[in-house]
Amino acid sequence: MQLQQFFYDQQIRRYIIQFIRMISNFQVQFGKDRNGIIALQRVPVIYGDSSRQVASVIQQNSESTLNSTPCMAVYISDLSYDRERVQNPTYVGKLNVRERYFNPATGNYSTTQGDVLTVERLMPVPYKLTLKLDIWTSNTEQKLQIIEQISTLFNPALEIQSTDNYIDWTSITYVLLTQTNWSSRTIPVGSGIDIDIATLTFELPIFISAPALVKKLGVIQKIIANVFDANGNLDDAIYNDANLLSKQYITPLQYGVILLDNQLRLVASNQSVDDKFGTQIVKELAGNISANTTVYLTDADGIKPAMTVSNLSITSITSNTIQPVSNCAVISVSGDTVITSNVITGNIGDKIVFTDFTRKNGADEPWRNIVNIYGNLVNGSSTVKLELEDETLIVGTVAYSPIDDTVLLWSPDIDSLPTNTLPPINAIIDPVTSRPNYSLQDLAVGTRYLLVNDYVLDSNVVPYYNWTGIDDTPLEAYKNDIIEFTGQHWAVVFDSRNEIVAQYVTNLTTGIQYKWDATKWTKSYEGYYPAGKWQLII
Amino acid sequence: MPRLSLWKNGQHTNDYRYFDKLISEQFTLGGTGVLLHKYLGPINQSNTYTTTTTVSSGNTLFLSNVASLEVGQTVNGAGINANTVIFSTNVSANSITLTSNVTSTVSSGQSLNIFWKDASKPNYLNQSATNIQDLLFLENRDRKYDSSVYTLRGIYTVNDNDFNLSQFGIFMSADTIYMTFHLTDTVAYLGRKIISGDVVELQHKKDYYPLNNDIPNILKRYYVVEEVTFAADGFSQTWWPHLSRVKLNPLVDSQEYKDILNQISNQTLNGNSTPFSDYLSTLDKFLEINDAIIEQAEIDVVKSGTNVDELYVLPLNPDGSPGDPTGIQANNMNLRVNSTRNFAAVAATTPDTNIPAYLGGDGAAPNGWPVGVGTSFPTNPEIGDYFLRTDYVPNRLFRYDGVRWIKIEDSVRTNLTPGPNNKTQRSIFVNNTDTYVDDSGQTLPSRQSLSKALTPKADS
Repeated sequence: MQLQQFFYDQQIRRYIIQFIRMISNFQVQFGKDRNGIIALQRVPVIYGDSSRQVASVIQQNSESTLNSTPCMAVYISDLSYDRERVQNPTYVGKLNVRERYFNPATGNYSTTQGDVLTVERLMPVPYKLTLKLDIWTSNTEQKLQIIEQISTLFNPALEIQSTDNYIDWTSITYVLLTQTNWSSRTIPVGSGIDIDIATLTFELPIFISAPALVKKLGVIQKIIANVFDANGNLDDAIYNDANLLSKQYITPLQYGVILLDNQLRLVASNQSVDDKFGTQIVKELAGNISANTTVYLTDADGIKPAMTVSNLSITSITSNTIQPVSNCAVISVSGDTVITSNVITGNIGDKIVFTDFTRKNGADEPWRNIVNIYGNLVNGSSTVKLELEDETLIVGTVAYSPIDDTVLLWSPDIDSLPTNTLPPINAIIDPVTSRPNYSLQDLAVGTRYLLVNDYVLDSNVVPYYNWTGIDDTPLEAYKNDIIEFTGQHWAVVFDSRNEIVAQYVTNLTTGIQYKWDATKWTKSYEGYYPAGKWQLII
Repeated sequence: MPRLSLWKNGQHTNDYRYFDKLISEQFTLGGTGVLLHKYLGPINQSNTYTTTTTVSSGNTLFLSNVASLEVGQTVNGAGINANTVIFSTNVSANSITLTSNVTSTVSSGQSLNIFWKDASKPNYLNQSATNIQDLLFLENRDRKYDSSVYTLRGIYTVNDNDFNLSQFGIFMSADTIYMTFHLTDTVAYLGRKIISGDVVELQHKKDYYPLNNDIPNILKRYYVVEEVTFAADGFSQTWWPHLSRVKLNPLVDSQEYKDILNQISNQTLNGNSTPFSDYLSTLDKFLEINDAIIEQAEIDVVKSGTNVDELYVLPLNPDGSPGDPTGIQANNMNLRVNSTRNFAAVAATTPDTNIPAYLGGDGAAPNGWPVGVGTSFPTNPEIGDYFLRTDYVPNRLFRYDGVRWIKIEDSVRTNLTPGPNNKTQRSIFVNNTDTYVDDSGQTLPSRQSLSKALTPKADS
């Protein structure tokens, strides 16, 4: 049997604590002592319903300990449901609040926004708490001193609060002095030795609350503004996509993002983006290099600074030993010599690949500066949704990169990603400028390339590079086709002119997946997402 | 031969004295040792001042310091008429003028009693157990005890007692002792009978084993005398009483017995500087408990009202449009989203409002922005600057919008613990140490009891 979850917020306890605080720090004045000094003695306030064991501990477990007076004691006399204050028991009060960002490193709240939350509060239950305050004094003058000081507090009531939390709508109530019993003794006293106790009775109309529901409000990345159309029609304005005036995407700060290699980078609105398709240029090393940034090629035609350097994904040939360090880019090109940002190791004849990736111009910006405006990103829990051209969303959790604060590591939900419908390709090449068996790779059965240009043999034109097979079978392929080496010749395995079904294929060299939409290849989800096409949910 | 009779016309006879000595001897043999603190009467509550100059005539006396004296206070002492009061004070000359001339020379160094005359609380010139401190409530609250401790012998029946649990701790339920003392011995030692108010320590009831091992000494057992009668079994054949029956109740740590307890507390035992009476009484423990509760209460509710400091307020532009949540300064009007400036390096917009909440103002700027503090506005403010004017009551927080200083909130949140940090309306009437200087140059407290405020001074 499953038990109900435990909850206890010390609500009545906190009222008692505050009540004791309210009547604490009062003093009585004694007369002059033998040295002419007038003493003020603070009157302690304790809870009056102690356990016998603790009372014995306080008493030092001794009959000799002296009880001290004056003293005040508070205890609960009654707690009853207050029928007169009942309100709709099912009412739920909602409150949307923005917190300031709490910096755990400094332990302070910052001036930027933190979490944005919705708090739902169930109607609290009204109760009337009756407290009694017993005042033990050793003489009448002492009693008058205490009563005179306390009595000015309640006219007729004094506010009390159990917390200063903005969310707690029950925190503030009042203490009403309802009855005063001057003395516990009767007149005449007789031979008794009863101590003299004055009793003040107080009533506190309090509420006892169930726990609140706290939810993340999330970040509104898309705002439907102007929800009415020109005719004041709400529905049309909201639901009619054709009514462009009624809908607009607003992305705070107009940031876009670039997703590459499961890394997200910010693109400011003033930064230009060069969204390359990702065509590869394959070259050959002209000499051995060992952990060096100076690379000698057989030729450097088409190589430009900022291109990314990688090895070629080869299906069957193992001779390629080139090992560029990741995130390696071209710094400069001089003749057939390329200077790279990271070191490269390889042997003469190895194939080295240069790819134009999507990139922006301008400095990278730290994610925290933007995220902190809207709240706290929780590593591994917060998500980024990216909207594809067909308006479907792909989702992935994000985390700050521990080594680069301009990068959010994006872990896609594979269920939201499109799956490949075609075998992967080794590279995307231009058959006009790429030279088979030389600047590409050694021939291997199953090698597949996606072409970005037509390759049509014309009897009147001698091609710059000959893609004719070993068996003299000529290649005739067109832009967007995928060709594959059969062992004897190159054959078109994806005929773009006749393919009308959406297809997905991954480039093994770059890892980027591409989508065929019956007219062109586009990157399926990696690349640039302008403002309004991505959502951060923190 | 006269008839035999042990009663001799109301005279104490040798028979009586014989019995009395025998009975006294029995107390010496079988009685338990009792240390008695003799009650001397209420402590004189007047202030004693010493003259600094000899005055043989006139009505001006010179004292070391007259700052605390007030016109109308009664002056009592040798050479001064009864019902003489202070007519005026001169702070700079440290002198007082009386309503009547001195009747004889008042020498330098002579003591004077100066006090507010209250017929219900008379000022006694002699120290006597017959004095009554408060004639209205018929109480002797501030009692003086002999600094000497008297040793007596008493006899009583030891009873078993239980503790009663009350709201103020545990009390012995029936710890009333009826102890008999030898009447003439007590009179011989004390100079009088034992009376109500005398305090005795039963030496044989010392507790050597208190719970707290750190207590440097034993816990002594004190009782106070409630009433004294002749013991019924103390009448001899002569019909004269020989014994006092003394009703003793446990002592409590109260105002009445501070003179005894303070003397104990002046002792430091075994190098321990903690007064012994601190261990003997529950007072310190109760105060510790009370302090702990207050500490928690101040954690639960730091200040009155509602705390909105941890909430974020969306900024607004001067034209009322929503401000940039990155916090670009309102006066950075040239900043747009296509600005090349790094947002992180740009100061934030300051909101021109705070979250409305009941008693939510505490003088702190929304979103934790810096606040200038002073009694006048700064001369060259920036748009969006906050400034807390401390010459406003309550202090008021302003924000500069380029043209005006606009009120954001009043600092009304306050500590709720009764004390000087509590700035509630009632508290500022009570916790008030301000003073003012009147036309005569006297510095007077701002806080005055309503019954004595602006009391008319004596006319010349």
